[in-house]
Amino acid sequence: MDWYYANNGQQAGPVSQEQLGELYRNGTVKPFDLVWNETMTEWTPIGKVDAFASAAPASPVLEPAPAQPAAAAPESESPPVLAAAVAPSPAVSGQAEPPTYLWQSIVVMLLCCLPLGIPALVFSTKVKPAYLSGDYNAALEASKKAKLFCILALVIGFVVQAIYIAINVFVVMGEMSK
Amino acid sequence: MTAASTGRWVASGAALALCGSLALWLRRVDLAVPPRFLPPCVFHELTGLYCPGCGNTRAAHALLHGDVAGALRQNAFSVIALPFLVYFVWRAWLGWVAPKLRKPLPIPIRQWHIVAVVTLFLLFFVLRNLPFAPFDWLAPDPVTRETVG
Repeated sequence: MDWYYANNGQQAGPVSQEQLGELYRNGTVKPFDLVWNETMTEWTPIGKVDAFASAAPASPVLEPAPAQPAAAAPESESPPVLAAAVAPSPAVSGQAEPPTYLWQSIVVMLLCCLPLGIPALVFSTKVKPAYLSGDYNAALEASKKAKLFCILALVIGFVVQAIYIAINVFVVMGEMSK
Repeated sequence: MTAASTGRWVASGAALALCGSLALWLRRVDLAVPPRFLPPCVFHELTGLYCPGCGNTRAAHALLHGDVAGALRQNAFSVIALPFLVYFVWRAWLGWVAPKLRKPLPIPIRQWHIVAVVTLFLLFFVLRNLPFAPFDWLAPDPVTRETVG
């Protein structure tokens, strides 16, 4: 089975289950790094994947599994290895990637709502780099802006088209009444 | 089935019926004498330039008559993108009515995929406005009133 994993801000793979287990064992892949294969619905921290439980490095990292261990755990209880494991990983937040709205932006632009479709497209391209660099809040922000501009573009585009059609209807009615 | 999911199926059916009726209507339209109700492209009206969506109506008309080549001639980007868009809309819809049935994408989307799609899209926008061969083949064919979207 092919596995993908997030490593230093980039998605890597595919690798076999044995290879990924070895990467996990030797510490290349940290417990909170996200992994995924095609049978899974979401990217998941490897520490939570049963298939790799036996490959877990001997450390207390697996015991607590809160969503944001570094932020949530009090300093005194947080083992140093945990902070080290969490900090450099793109999966830092342990949160799923926000939607990019890429195809929605393109659909909106193809439906002739051009001026507002452009910022939608620009923001949609910013979601993934921000997420992969570990800046979850920036990714979420870009995702929300892309969504906002998609909706604005669609609504304003439809309103403008409706006005055009209405004008044409009046012109036709005027011609018919002559 | 909960009330919410029943509502979603009803809404989906209504949307499908609306799209189907629009398609049947568009199929019967004679583009040589286009009805005034067909929306023109506002961007084209205002600037004289072709937007990335110009020719979509004519392309849809051609597709509804089974004329893929004719559709490509009107808006190559939209026609090539259509199967992908249908797939993404299908996934979005599945996530809406039956999230458990939706599997992740077979290939995780990477940064260069996004860059490639956006680059192609903007390139298409620029190239179709160049008034000489072969690029003028990317512009819609004015078989009819120029302003039909």
